[in-house]
Amino acid sequence: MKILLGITIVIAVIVFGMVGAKIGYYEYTHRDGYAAVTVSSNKITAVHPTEYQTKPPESTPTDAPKSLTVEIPDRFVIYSAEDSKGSPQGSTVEKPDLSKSAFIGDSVSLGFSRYCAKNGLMKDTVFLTAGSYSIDHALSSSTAKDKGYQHPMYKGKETPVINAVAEIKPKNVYICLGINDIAGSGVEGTVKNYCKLINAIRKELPDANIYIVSTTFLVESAQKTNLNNLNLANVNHNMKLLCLKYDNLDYIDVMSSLQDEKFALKSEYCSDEYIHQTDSAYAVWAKTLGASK
Amino acid sequence: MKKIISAIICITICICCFASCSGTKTAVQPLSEVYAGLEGIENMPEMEIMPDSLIETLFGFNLADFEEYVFAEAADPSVYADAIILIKLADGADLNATCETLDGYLRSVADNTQSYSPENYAKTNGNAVCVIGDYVYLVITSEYQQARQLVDNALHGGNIDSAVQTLVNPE
Repeated sequence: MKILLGITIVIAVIVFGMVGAKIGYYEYTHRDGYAAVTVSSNKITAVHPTEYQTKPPESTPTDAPKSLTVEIPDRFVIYSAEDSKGSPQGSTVEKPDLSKSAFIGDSVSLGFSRYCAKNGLMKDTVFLTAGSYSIDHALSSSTAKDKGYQHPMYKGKETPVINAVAEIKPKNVYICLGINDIAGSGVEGTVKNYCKLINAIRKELPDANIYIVSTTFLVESAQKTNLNNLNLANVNHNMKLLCLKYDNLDYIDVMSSLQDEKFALKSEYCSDEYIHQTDSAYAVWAKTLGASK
Repeated sequence: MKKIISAIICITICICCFASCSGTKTAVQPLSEVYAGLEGIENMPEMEIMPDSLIETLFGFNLADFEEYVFAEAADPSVYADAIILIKLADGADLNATCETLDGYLRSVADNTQSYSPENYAKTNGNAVCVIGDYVYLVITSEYQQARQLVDNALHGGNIDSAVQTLVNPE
């Protein structure tokens, strides 16, 4: 009788745990040999194998196609504020080959580009950055000013980033966008457009490694109705899951090292009490990207 | 004796004539000194010189086309759109192409700041690329009128009447 009771309890715990995890709407994809994922209750911690193993796995998937079209997810993972606690600090992908890269970003990345320029970092990286740049802008090849389109300066001209990367032909493409999309497109729209942008770049550069760099947070007091840290975290989280799913698409989490316990940009890293960052923050960026001297 | 005195007087008059032709031309300041003067303008944020590699990537310029140049932007370019660009073209350099590129840069700054940073947009509104002889310059800052006056004074070399100034105005 006691044995039967014990077995029943064990089965009930297992079933309850599975149901509980399902109710939390969390799904994950374990990319064989390339991702170590821990799932506990409704929190996901995903880190690159370098955090877990000292050598590459023996079974390398050789038949995985490199140039996959990234699907637009039909279900979004909702990431709550509670889940931000205990996030891995500065989790990174394996140090990428920094030769001949392109870095697409907005005003925050613009600051990083100048930090790199004055410190002699990422010399082989072409920065395609502009203030208020968005994924929506990046998707357009139009330079129509009356419609509000704008693009980064490249070799003296405002150049749509798709055209620029097609000309540069980098081995690696870093993308750090999203802040200027949230208010207009929301989380779902931003992630969908991000996927479209990845697809457009993949079309031009089938073999390039694409790195999604975490979208920046704001200082707590600067949050607005839609442009808030929870929405930005949701974008990051969904992009992280997408990156786990596909080859040649990786996620670089810079933000975890810059955020405070309230899930906001630490004030010591902020240069304007809003969202833009100091040289000390960019030093963290450089370290996380493997670009430090 | 009279001939000797006459000759001395003639020579003296000739010397006086040549002396009066020397004029009072003031040497044009080197661009590094002009830049130093601009840094002190009111409301100018801390500026940093752009590395050559950044100038080439951003503007597509061949720096060999410039006899002298200073490219500087705000130390925190995410927050401040201020920029100081001073160029002395080398012989044979394309003036129109240089002006066109700088005008494009000015418009780009205006476009990028118009919707999210009114203070920075104001630095571009009504601003322009300026040409004085072989010099081309663009100063993006809140007191750009004052900056232009400073550069004009420095590059004219005191001969304001003989200067030719062309403005490339953004619309």
